[in-house]
Amino acid sequence: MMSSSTLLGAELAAPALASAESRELRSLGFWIYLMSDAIVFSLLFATYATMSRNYAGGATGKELFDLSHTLGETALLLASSLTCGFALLATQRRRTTSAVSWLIVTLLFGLGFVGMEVTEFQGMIQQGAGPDCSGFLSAFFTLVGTHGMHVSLGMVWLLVMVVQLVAIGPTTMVQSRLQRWSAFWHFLDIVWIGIFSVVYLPGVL
Amino acid sequence: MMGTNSDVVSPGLRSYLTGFALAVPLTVIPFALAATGYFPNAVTLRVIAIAAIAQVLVHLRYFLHLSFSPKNTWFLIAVAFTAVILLIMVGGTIWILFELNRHMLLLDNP
Repeated sequence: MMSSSTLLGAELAAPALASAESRELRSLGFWIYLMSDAIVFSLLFATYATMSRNYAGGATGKELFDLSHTLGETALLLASSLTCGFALLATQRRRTTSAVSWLIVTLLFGLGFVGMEVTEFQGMIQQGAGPDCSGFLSAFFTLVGTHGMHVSLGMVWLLVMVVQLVAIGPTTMVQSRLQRWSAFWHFLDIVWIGIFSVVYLPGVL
Repeated sequence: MMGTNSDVVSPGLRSYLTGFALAVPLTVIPFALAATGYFPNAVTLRVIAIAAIAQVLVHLRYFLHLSFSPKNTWFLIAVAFTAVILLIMVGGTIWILFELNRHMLLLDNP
């Protein structure tokens, strides 16, 4: 597993940072960040739950939400979680072409997801149901928009990983970074489970 | 391009495929119930909640590979600490504000 130390020496100015223990610590540090992000999202969920019926005479979830659209977004994100896993496995087997291909597929799913979300937001704003309309819509746009922003940043990070795979190769450090990116990506899919279960599905009932 | 197709199914690959196979029905069932309104809303809401919790656990286990093995101790402690914080903050917020709403409604309609 540590047979790549020569590769690492060429890659990093500080090879001491690349020990297995250090990678484990980075993984834990990143996990603690994800848990803090989980707290951020959960409080946005709590805000939404308390505001979800404050329509202020405006549009309700039943009028605004289209479940088939939400199902499409869910499918894209779930498929991207799978291909993200394939990319990580390919990187761990040091298959750069395969890893980059799966990352590009993941990127396309992610772009599809964000595109659908932007379309939905634009449609709602054109109907006069923007975030300034009611407490319900403020909480909705804040929660769903924060998630969409995370997915967009995850795609920027994905592109950085593609560049590293091509420029550096699937070294131990690149594998370690890709593992943390995949944790971020899977985490966002978990947040999305919360969004369709708390916002969209109860919204149409 | 599809390099993994020619491989023997490895434990890593099996984990992702299992997670995906479990996640699909856990998504489709709540969507189908919400879209058709087959059951009363109270039942549908319970099914949505149960499917969501189950799917979160599936993702943690099969996509994030979080298990109760000793090497994950500190990861699980972080999860447990987060859960405590959320129980206090999210649980407290929802409890207090929903009670407040209920009492305000009582004032409006005595």
